[in-house]
Amino acid sequence: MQLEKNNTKYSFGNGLVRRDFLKLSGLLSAGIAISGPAWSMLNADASAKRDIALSYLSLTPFILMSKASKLVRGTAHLSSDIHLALDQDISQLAPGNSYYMGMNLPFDTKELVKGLDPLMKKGTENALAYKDTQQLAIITGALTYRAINNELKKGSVGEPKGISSQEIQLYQDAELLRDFYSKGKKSSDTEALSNLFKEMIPRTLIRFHTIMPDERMGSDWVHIMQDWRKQTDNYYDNLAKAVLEPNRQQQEKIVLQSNFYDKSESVIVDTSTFNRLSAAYGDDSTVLLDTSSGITDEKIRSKQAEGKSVVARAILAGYLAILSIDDFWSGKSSSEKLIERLNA
Amino acid sequence: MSEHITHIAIYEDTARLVAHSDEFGKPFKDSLRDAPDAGLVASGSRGNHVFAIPIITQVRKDWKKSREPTKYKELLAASIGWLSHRAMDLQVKPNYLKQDGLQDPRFSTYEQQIYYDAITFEKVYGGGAYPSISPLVKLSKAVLEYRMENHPAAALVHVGHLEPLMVGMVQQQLLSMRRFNGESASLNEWLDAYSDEYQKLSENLEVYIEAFVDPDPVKINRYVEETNFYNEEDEIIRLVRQIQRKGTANATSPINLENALERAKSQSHYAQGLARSYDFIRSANKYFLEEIARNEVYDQVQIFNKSHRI
Repeated sequence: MQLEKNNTKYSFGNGLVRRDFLKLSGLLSAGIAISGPAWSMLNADASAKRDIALSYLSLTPFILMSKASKLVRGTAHLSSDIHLALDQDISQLAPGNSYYMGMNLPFDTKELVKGLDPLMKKGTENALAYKDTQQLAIITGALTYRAINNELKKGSVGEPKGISSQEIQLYQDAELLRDFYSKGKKSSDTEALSNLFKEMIPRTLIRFHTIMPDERMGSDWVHIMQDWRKQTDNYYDNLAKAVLEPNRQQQEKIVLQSNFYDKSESVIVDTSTFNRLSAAYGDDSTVLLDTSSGITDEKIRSKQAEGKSVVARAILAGYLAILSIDDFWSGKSSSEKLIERLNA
Repeated sequence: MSEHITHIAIYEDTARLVAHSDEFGKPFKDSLRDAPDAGLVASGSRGNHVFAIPIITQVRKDWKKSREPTKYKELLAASIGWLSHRAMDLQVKPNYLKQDGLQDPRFSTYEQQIYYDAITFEKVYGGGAYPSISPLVKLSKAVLEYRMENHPAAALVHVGHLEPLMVGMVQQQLLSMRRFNGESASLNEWLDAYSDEYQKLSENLEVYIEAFVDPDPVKINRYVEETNFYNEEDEIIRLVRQIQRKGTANATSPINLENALERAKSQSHYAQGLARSYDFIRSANKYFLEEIARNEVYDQVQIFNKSHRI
């Protein structure tokens, strides 16, 4: 089993791999009270120090995951379980709020697909509880994210040289944010925009009720949180600048001259934030697959081939990953076929 | 007490009183001045019973020889944040209206707690007009508005569509840094642990927004006024608002801190909670200076559960 890299840079430094963690958790379960000396013991464990860097704070994967989900939800014949697993509602405990959390799952595709089996069994018995749908959301999110991230990685080969990867990601984030979420009004008030992003943090913390420290991290948690707070604050400042006052030359190189994004592509146009996509209502979409007779490998390949830019390919890859999961979930294909499609 | 705003407010007010008081030395004062955000995060977090005192024990042992003073300031500030959280919890939790005794569908204990937060946001932060002591916290009245609609930048982006992504990003970041994420040996183990490890969106912000933007006068009366949650005439509150808004206590008609703390014991819940928070930090300071023993500090911050007296 491969420990796959997740998308954040809160990576485990100094070569700490799962084996070491297992040893550590073995110590914990060997009778040392977790709330007791354990935390100071772990605190002294230098190998638990983490390398935190800004570069992986990026909105792009979230935007692309949300666009893939939007496309899928426009598809007729999607099973209602998958639909529910994709429905996000930040004002309540919706199972679909865990869709993005799948980004973190450190397991390979095969294991993730295997994780669908017990859920499917419950689904056929009409016994899917909240927690099960939440797990369906996580696994669906994990597989969608991988499909998207795979395209982003392939695309990064064509990125301009001599510009840091942080800067590139920031300009990519800003470009998508401008096209999908801006209201078209001109402003150079980067501080106001940055503050708007920052004020979403206390709103989020209120929604959390209280923050949960990781007790097993001991006092390291305090420092990691401070690093995260500063990185986030810095990211919002930079993002606001990149949105409102981009360096035109940088923007030209990163976004327009590279193959990252071509706003005229139909998949990008179709996922416009206020567009209605619904095959059920016969809305005009050039992108949605006709899934009435199921999907085939051929359909998947030719749909994926329609995407030219990195963004279009990533949205399509995410969309097709979810359609493939749905095909399996509704009993039209096997888990082997699903793994094959996801690994293609 | 469960809500974010009142907890960070009590912490910030405690920090103001610590800065004002002459009974604290450099370690406590400097920590709150230089690492205010570490304390603010802790004040909005669970875990005070296991983190606060062990952290002081650790810092007390090491801080003088440390080459990383920033780290120790973050730790002491966090410990203070956690103790202030505890103080306010102990103050208000037993004093909420009892759900059983409400006998009126207009009211709920849950909503009462949220009204407390809305009042705190108004009274302490002036609805966002008075800044946080943490440079990493930005507040304005838009924090408690639908789609942040009166924020100057809300005209630039579709907050309703962007915010769910930002919320997801915060959840994902906080999840990714947790140990279980790397420790779990199998998918099942990870999924089993998940519900205790991720930050649920358990609060509906709309309830907070309603309480702040358009409070129900009947509820203000029942939830806030009848229970005497906040009284700006209380000396401790007057003192701390002077420090907050003028930068210093009023010199012409000075309020004596000790008297204000004593009088607070029979005043509003906010005044009592703040005084209790100050008392807890005073005990922590004495423990830090080795003037009292570990058992004594645990007694004074009211951690009686043996397994938590680490």
